[in-house]
Amino acid sequence: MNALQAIGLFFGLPLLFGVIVYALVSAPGWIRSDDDADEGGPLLLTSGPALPDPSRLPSEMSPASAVSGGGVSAQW
Amino acid sequence: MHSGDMLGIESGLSPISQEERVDLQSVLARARTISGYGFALYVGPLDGGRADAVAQHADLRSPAGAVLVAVSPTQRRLEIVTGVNVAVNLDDRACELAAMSMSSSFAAGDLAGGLREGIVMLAEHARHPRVLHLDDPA
Repeated sequence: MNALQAIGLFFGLPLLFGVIVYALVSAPGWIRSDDDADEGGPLLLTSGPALPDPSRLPSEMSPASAVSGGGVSAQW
Repeated sequence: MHSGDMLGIESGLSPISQEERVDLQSVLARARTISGYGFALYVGPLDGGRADAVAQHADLRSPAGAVLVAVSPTQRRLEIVTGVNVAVNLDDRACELAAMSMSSSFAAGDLAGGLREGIVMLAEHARHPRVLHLDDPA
């Protein structure tokens, strides 16, 4: 084994291994950073519609046309 | 509504990251499971004040059984709109409590955390009363 092979074996391979490990550890962060970029505009998130309530008869339920039943306003 | 409202950035609130959006989406789903009502969250400009929030609520699917939490970080404004069916269990006093909790978190700069806590609080209050034989069939 000459000097060049020894350097490659004892420094090159560990260095290459370190680079691979670093890339594997950091790759998810690089991908996520693209998703985290804030788009700015308004955001609307919704759950699914209301689940049926077995304790209430359909006749007790208000029609969909009557929508707003209350709520509050606040500022901080 | 203008599109310049940067989800909290301009008001000093922490902006909502993609991770927090996913988390808030799961909180909304959990709120629906807890209460049985649909929940929606709007973060953006509310130039028309409460009227904007009410209009946004009316656009939801089954609005009578839905709760909308609308926040404008730039205007430092919070609106909670409840549908007529939800208002049976979730009165304005309970909404005020949730609004106070959320406002204090927003004032501390924690937009996502305040929303998370407020939505869960609303869901807990909106939970319909237990009905003998229906909720406990055994």
